[in-house]
Amino acid sequence: MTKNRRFALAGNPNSGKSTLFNELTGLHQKTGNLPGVTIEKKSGRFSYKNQSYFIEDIPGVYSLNARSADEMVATSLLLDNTAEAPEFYVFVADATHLRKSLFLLLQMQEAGCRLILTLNMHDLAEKRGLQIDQAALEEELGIPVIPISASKKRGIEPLKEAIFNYPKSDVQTKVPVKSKPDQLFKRIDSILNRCQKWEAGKVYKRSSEKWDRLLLHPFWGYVFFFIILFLLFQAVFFLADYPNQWIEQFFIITGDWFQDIMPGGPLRDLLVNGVLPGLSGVLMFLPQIAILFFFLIVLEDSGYMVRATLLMDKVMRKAGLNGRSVIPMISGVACAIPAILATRTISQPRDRLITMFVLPFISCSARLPVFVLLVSLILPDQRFLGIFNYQGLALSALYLTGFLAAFGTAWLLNRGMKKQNQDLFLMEIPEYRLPHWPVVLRQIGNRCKSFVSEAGKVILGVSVILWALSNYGPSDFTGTHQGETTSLEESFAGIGGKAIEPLIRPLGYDWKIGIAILSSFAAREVFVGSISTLYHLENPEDQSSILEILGKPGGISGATAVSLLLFYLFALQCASTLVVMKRETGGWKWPIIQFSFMGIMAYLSALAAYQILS
Amino acid sequence: MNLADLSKGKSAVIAAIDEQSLAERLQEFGIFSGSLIRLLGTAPSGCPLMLEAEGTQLGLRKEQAALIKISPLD
Ligand SMILES: Nc1nc2c(ncn2[C@@H]2O[C@H](COP(=O)(O)OP(=O)(O)O)[C@@H](O)[C@H]2O)c(=O)[nH]1
Repeated sequence: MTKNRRFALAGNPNSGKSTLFNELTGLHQKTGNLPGVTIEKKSGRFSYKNQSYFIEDIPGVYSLNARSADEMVATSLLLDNTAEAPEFYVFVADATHLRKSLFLLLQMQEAGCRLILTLNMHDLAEKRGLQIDQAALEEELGIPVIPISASKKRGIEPLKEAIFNYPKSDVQTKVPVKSKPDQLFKRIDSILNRCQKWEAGKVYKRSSEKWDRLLLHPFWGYVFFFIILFLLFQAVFFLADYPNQWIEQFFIITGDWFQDIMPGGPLRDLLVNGVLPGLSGVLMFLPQIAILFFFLIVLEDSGYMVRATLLMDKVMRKAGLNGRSVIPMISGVACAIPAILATRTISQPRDRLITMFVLPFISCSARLPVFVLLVSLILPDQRFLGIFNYQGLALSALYLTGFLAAFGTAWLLNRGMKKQNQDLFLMEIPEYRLPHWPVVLRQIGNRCKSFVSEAGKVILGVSVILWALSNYGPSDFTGTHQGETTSLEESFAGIGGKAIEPLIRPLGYDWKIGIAILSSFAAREVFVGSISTLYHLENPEDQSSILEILGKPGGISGATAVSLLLFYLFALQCASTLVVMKRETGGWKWPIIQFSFMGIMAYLSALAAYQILS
Repeated sequence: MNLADLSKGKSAVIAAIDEQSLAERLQEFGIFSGSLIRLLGTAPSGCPLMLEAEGTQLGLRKEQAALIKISPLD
């Protein structure tokens, strides 16, 4: 084998790059970066005739003039002048929208990129009676032109052959583009005049208009939007419940197994009480995140997401947000991290910051177990009027409050922050398309994988640290140790819990709840585990369920439970979110402001609730 | 007359685009002064507008549409 050759896929959004990338690389691909919704750096490899290739997929753009954060990433890759730059680019053009594709292509050519042009969606072009003269196009552009159909797997071999035959050359330095758009389009129109013909008698009519009459209808459009949201929430919460239970069971069984086969000691303890709960904490999110990604990818690929953005733009702007904030806000229900990354499509830095700032108010799936535990403590599992479940209603109210807090804060920030120039809100409305399932599945897989490896590291790390803090105390080091193990009360965590007790006493919390709150910084749902461990440790003989123990005197009172609910609803107790915010805003300033703002709000509302109710 | 005044389903020719960055963005889609533009409809709340020009469908806010001067056909 000879040296790897590197090339990149470039093109407009929606031209079929992901599909082609998937077709070329198959299983040999990986996604760098965290799981964003639209931006991720994908790379992969394949070999053909004993030559191996390294491919990068560059996010789709319309031109080399970047405006938003994700376009910036794309153009910097297209104009890469470093030694890492791809040797050449395979340009994926939507053959049915050639005029638009050629604009970016000519810009890239002028900038000094070496190119192969693929005319994708050739099947659609044929169906619509659009004929493209390949030879004439090659002559006009001076580059190889290959018609393909990525989703129908047609033309892939000739493309590989063209890549194989593409002359080797050193990386060219890229230069700024000088031609004005009107000059470029004059050239494009003359090229198309020569190379593109419509079969006589065939007139293509977009099918989207019919659908849009329904989906963008002043009334039914919103009904449909809320039905989709409703289905998404149902799926994220109820469908994910089954795999969640399997994962939980699996970890209980594995834990017991290690407990049996390993000799007692710190190592077993670390594994059973530190590492395994940490791992299960990470994996418990996975079903929900996978389902969320499934919905988001399908909505995005089908073209509905743009409609939802248009539908909600005006409403969101009232709150100081932006139509593009809709997707992040919806994603926030599963987890704030993918939601924050999804804000990269918002071109206005100010709107993006406001959106990121308020996202953690939206109740993520990590809060759900906490809510469920506390709500079952104060409300009966009964219905009134035959249909409404008290607990279910309370949960809905909590979610609603989270959304209201997010919108309210956005509104405040919008008034408080300096206005910027008008955001240029201009979106292409793509045609509806059926998603290509292999690509959808592959994308879900990639995103889940990067979630586990990136967010997982933080959650697992914090779990292990917390385990150490709650198992060791100063007495382990001073030699004044009595008995076999350090009791929780004497551990560092216990000391920490005691230390913050004066601060949290007015909220109705004791030191045990203090520890549970501190431990929640790994992930909020750790609260449930910590609370049950702590209260079981207090009454080792009591075999009742945690709910019964908490319900007894000395457990958690109704007023404390309400106060805790509010605290968890508003506080930003998530180390991973803070780390991601720091990375996305380029410093600790905003995460710290956000953390303090939400913390103060949580503290004050919990204080008020407890003082009024107790 | 500007684009925000166009009624649904009607077409017009773009006469001038009064804002530089908007004009630049539209140019990337191949839309210039002289291009034919049609209003497909508006989002339920009257904004944004949904337009079609040069084979592309676009969503654009009303206040930006107001910066695009048009001369109506017929
Ligand atoms: N009919 C047809 N559809 C395609 C073809 N290639 C891609 N698509 C569809 O076009 C849409 C956009 O493709 P995608 O790969 O996500 O585009 P990207 O945004 O450039 O990565 C998807 O719904 C694909 O299933 C093709 O050759 N023929």
